[in-house]
Amino acid sequence: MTPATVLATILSLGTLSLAGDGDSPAELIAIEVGRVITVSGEDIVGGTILVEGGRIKAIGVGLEIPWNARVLKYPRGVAMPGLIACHSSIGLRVPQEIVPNAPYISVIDGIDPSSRAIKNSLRDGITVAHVMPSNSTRIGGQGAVVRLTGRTVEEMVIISPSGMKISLLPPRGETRMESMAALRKTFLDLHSRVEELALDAVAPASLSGRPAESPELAALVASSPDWESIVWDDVPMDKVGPELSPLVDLVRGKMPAFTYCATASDVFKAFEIIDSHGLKSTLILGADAYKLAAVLESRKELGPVILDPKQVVWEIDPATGKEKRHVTPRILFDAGVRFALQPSGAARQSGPGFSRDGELHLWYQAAVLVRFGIPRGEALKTITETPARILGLDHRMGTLEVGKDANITIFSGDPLDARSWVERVLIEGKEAYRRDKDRELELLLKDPEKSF
Amino acid sequence: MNHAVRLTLLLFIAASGFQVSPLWALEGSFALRVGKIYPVSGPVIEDGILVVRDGKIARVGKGVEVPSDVPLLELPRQVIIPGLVDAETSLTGEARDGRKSLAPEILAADGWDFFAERRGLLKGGVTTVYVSPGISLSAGRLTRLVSGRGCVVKVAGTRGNPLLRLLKKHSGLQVTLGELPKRPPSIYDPPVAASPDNPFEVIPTQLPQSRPGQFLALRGLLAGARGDGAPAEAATRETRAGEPFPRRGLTPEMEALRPLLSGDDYLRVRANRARDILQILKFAEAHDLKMVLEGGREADLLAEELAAANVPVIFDGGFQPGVIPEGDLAAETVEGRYRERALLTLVEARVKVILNSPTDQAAENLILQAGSAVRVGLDPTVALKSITLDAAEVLQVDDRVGSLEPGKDADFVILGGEPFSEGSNPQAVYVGGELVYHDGPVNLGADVTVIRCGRVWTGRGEQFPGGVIVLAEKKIRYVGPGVLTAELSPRATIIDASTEVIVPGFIDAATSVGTHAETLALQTVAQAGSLGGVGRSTFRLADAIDPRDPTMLELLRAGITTVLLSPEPVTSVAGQITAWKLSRKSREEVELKSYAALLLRSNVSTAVLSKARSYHKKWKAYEGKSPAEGDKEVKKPDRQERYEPFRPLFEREVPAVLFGKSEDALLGAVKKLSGEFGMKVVVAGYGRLDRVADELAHQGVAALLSVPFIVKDGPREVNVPRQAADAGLRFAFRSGAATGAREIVPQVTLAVHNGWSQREALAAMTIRPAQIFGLDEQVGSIEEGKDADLVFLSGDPFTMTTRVVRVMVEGEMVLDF
Repeated sequence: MTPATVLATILSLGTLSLAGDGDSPAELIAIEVGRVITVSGEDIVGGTILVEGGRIKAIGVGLEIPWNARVLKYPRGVAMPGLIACHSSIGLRVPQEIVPNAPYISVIDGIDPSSRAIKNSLRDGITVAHVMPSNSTRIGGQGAVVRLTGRTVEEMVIISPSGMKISLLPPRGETRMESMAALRKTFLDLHSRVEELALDAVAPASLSGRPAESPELAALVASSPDWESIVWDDVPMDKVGPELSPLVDLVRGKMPAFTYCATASDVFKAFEIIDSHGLKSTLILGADAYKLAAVLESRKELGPVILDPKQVVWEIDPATGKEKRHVTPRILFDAGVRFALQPSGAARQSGPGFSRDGELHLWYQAAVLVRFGIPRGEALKTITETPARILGLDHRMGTLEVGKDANITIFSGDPLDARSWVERVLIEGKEAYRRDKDRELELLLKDPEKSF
Repeated sequence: MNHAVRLTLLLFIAASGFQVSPLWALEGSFALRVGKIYPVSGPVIEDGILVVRDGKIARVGKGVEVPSDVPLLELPRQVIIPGLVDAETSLTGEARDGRKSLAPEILAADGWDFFAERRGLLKGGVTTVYVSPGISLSAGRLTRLVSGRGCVVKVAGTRGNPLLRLLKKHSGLQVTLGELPKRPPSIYDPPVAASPDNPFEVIPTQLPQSRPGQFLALRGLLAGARGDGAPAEAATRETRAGEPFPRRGLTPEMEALRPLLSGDDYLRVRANRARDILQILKFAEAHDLKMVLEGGREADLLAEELAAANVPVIFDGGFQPGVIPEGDLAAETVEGRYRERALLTLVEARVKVILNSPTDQAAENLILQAGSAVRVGLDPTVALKSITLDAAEVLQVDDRVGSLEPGKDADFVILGGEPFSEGSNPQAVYVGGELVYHDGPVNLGADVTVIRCGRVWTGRGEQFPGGVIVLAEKKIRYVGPGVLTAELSPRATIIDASTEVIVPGFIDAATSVGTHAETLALQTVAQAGSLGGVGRSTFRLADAIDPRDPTMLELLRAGITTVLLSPEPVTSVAGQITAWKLSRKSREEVELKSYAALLLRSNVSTAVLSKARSYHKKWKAYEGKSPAEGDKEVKKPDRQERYEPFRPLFEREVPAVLFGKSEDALLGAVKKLSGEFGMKVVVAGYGRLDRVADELAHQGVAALLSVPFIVKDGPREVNVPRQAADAGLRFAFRSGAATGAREIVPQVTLAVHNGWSQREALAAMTIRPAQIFGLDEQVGSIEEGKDADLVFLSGDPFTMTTRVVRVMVEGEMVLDF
C-alpha cells in the first residue's frame, strides 16, 4: 500500500464515520424499543421491528427474533418513521442560479454528499429530503428526492427529476407584475414553439415557418394557450432541445411542479398558471398563509400544501393597534386543509444544527402543532406520511408498515419532547446515524465553548 | 407628548376599559330602513328600505315589502349611499415601474395584495378602486409610456376568498404622455444557452426619447397587435438581431391589446398638457379606440373636443389633506383657469367628469374631493354620481356596483347624515352585504354592566337585532347593534339576554296603585265634599302611599316601571299627578317628578281659572320688576297655596290633564284651557277619542287613552289607538286602576293583534307618556344617558305569547323569573 492510498483510505473512513458499520443490505435487524409510533395505526408499546433486506419484515409485540439478527435495544426508546423534508435545500451550497428562468438546471449537479447539512439533518432524524432550487428564481430548475446516505449523489437519489420549482417571488430587480408577465410569456413561448415544431413536422411547406396569410387575430390570440390542440406525437422531441424539454414534461403532466407562493395573493397567480397549463403542482406557502384558509379549502384537489417554517405570525391589528397572533397550521387545520411541514433552510448550512430557532427542527415544528391543539397523530403525519404522499412515495415510506422501506428514526424518548435525542437513524435498513458515534456532538457536549 | 408616553396611555385605556363596537348587525340577508337612500340611479328615497339578499340588493324603495324571514334594522336618522368608486389609484405597492417602455402585458392585478387591509379607504366609504399598473405619479418618478393594464377591485369583502373581489382583471391600457415616460432604460437579457438560433443581441435602446417617439411607439404597438406589420415587441426596438423563436403570432403583447382593438377595453391616457391631449384624441380617433383621459389639467381648453369625442375625464381634484401646494398658482389664476373653474367648464360642456384624488393617500378622502367640487358650484347630485355610478361606468363595472338597484352587489355606506354635510362620516360600510367597516370601538370604562340582547327596541323607533346595552351607575351608557370585540374588564358584569327582547320600562299614565284603592277612594270623596272648588289643587295622592307597598310588584310583573299616580277625577280640580319609579325604595328615591300635571275636569269653572290667572299675573309682575326699574313699587302679593299649582300651568311647564265624559265637553274645555288660558293640555277620560283625534291633533293636544281599545261602532269594529295614531294624535295609555293596571299590557296587545303597529304601541307605552309629562330626559326610551329601566321579554312586545322575563329599574334587577 502506497502512502497515498493509505491517506485516501483514512480520508474515506473519515467521511464514513457517521455511515455506520458497513452492513449489507440483506442483513437482518431486530429493533426492540419501548414504543413504536407507526403513524399508520396505533402506537405499539414494547414493540419489535424486524428489518430484512432494507425493508420492514414484521412489526409487533413479542416477535420471535431470528438467531442471526443483529439486535438494537432501546428499552426506553421510541421508533418512528424516518422524518421526510419535503422542501429543502439540504446538500446544496448555492441553491439557485442567477438567471431567473432555468428549467434545465438540476439540483443533482449541486448536491454535495459530504455536506454538513446532511449530517445535521440526520442528527434531527430526517431520512429523506426533497432537494429543490431556492425561492429566488422564477423557474429555478429540477429537484430530486434523496436518501440522506450514500457516498455519491447517484447512491443517494431516489427520484430525479422530482419536480420543477416555480417561484412567484419576484427575482431581484423585477416587480411582481413583471415577474408574472414573464412567467406567462415563458409558457406562451413554449406553446408557440411546440406548435410550430408540430406543424413543420407534419407539413414543412413554408420556409419561414410563418403562415402565408395573416389569420384572424382572435383565432391567433387566445387568452391562454390551447394545449389540448397539440398532438404530442407530431412534435419532434429531439428538436425541442434540452432547455425546453423539462417544461414540456411539466405541461404534459409528466413532471410535477412545486410552486412557491411568497405571499397569500400569489396563490391566485399559482392557480392561474396551474389551471391554464394543466400543471400538477404542490403549493409551497409563505408565512402569511393563515389568510388562505377559505381559499385553500376550495382547492383541495391540489393535494396537501407545504407550510412555511414560520408557524406563528404576529401582526398589529390596524383597527385596534393591538398585536394579534396567527397560528397558521392551526387555522388551516381547522379549515380542513392538509399540509406538510418543511425545515427552515438557511441556517442548516452551517453550525452543528443547534439553534434557539426551533424552526430548524422538523420534530420541534410538529411539537408546536400539538401545543396549539392539533391532535398528536395528525401532527406526526405532517413530517412523515404527508410529505411522502406529496412526493409520491407513500407506498414506500412515511409510516412503519410491513413491506415499506426500513427508514426508521429512534428517539431516546418521545419525539416531540425537547429532551429527547435522536439515538439512531436507519435508512433502508442501513445504519445512517448513531448518537454514540457522533463525534461532533460529543465534542459539542463536552465543551460547548469550543464548538461555537 | 412623545410616542412612548402616548403608547402607554393607549395601552392603559385598552387594558382598563372595555370596548363595544357598533356592529351594524347582520350577514347575508337583511333589510335596513333609514331616513334617506340615495340610489344615484334614480331620485332620492325618503324613509327608504333596502333589502339585501345573499349579498345582492333585492329591493330598494319606500315602503317596499320586507320578506318575513329577513331581519329588519331600523335607523331612522341614517342615510345610505352606494359604496364609492375611486377611478384611479396606483396601489400596487411597487416603488418603481418595470423596465419595458411598452409593456401592455403587465397586469396591475399581479401586483395587488388581495389580502391587505384597506381600512383607510373603507373609512372614507370607498369600496371599489381602479388600480393602475403604473407607479404613483405623486412620487414624481419616471414612468413608462405603456405601463400595462389596470384592474378593478373591491377593497374588502367576499368572506374569506378575496379573489372574488376582482371585478375586472384587466381594464384600460395605461398610457402616459408628457415628460415622465421619456428616456427609458436599455434592456439587456443575454440568452443563457446562446446558439445560432438564439444569439447574443446588440443591446437595444427603447423608444421614446421624444414626443414624436411616443406616438411612433404607440403606432408601432398597434400595428404589431393588428398583425399587419412587425411583431409588437419590435415596435420598441430600433435594432434587433433576431427573435428567440419564430412565432406564429401568439405573443403576450398581442393578447394584451386584443380587447382594446375589439372595443372591449379602452385607452387610458394620463396627459395634462393640451397639446398632448389633442394629439392623443386624434390618435384614438384614427385607430378607432375608446379613450378615457386622466389628470387633464388643461382639459378644459379642449372641453368641446372631449365632449364631441365622448371621452370622459378622470379629473384630479386639488385638495390634498395636510398639503398646501407649493409653487406659483397665480399663473393659472391669471388665465382664469384655476382648477375648480376647469372642472365646471368641462361639466358645462357635457364632458363626463369623474372626480379623483390627486394622490393615493388622498383617496381616503374621495368624498371630500366631491365636497370641494360642490363648494365651487358643482351640483351635489352630479358630484355624488361622479364618484359612484359614473366612475363605475367608465370602469365598465356598472353592472355590479355604482348604484343601489336590485340585482347589483350590496355595496353601500351608512352615513350619519346628508352626504357632503357636517358630521356625515361613514358609520358603517358594507360590501356584498358583508360588514367591512364600522366606526367603533367606543370606550366605556371598566365598572359596567353589559347586556347582550337578542333584540333591542329603543322606543324611539330603532331596533337592533343582536344589540348591546351597557350600563354604568344606574344609567345607560351605550346602546346599539353590537358585539363585544375586546376582552372585558374582569370587573364588568355581563348579563346574557341573547334570547330576550329588551324594551324600555312601560309607563302607565294614570294609576292609583298602592293606595289600597277602596278605602282611599272613599276618603277622597269625603274630602271632595268638604273642600270643593279649587281647594283640591294641592291634593297629592302620592302623599298617601308607601313606596314599598307590595302591590307595586304586580305592575312590575307586567313590565311597568314608571307610573303617574293620579287621583280620581271626582271634583273639577281633582289634584296633582306625581311621577314615580316603581323601585320600592324611599320616597325621595322613587319620586321622578312630584308635580307632573294637574288633573282638571272639563267642567272646571272659568271663574276659578281667571282668579288663578290673575294671581299668577300679580306674582309675575312682582317677580318681573327689578327694584331699580320703574318708579312705582309693586306690592308683594299674598301667597295663596290653592292657586300656586296653577302657576306652572300658565307657564306651560306642567300640563293640565283634562278629564271629560263627552266629546263636546272635552273639545269645549280644550278650547278654553288651551286657547284662552294658554295651557298645555292633555285630554283623557272620553272613550272614543278617535272621533276627535283629527281635531285634537290639529290643536296640538296630546291624549291619554283608556280601555276599551277595540269598540263596536254599529257594524264596524274600531281600533281606537290605531285610528288615533293614523290621525297623528300623540297619546299614551292610562289604566286608571290600582293593581289592575297590569292588565293594560294585554289590552294594548289586543289593539296590536287587531292591526296596530307594534312600534307605535311601544312608543305609546314608553316615550310618549315620558314626553307628555316632561320625563323624557330620564325615562321612556333606551338611550345613552337615560335611567336603566329595562324590561326583558321572551319575545317581541305586544305579541300574545310574550311574557316578561326580568325587569330592571335603575340598573337593578328588581324582578327575575
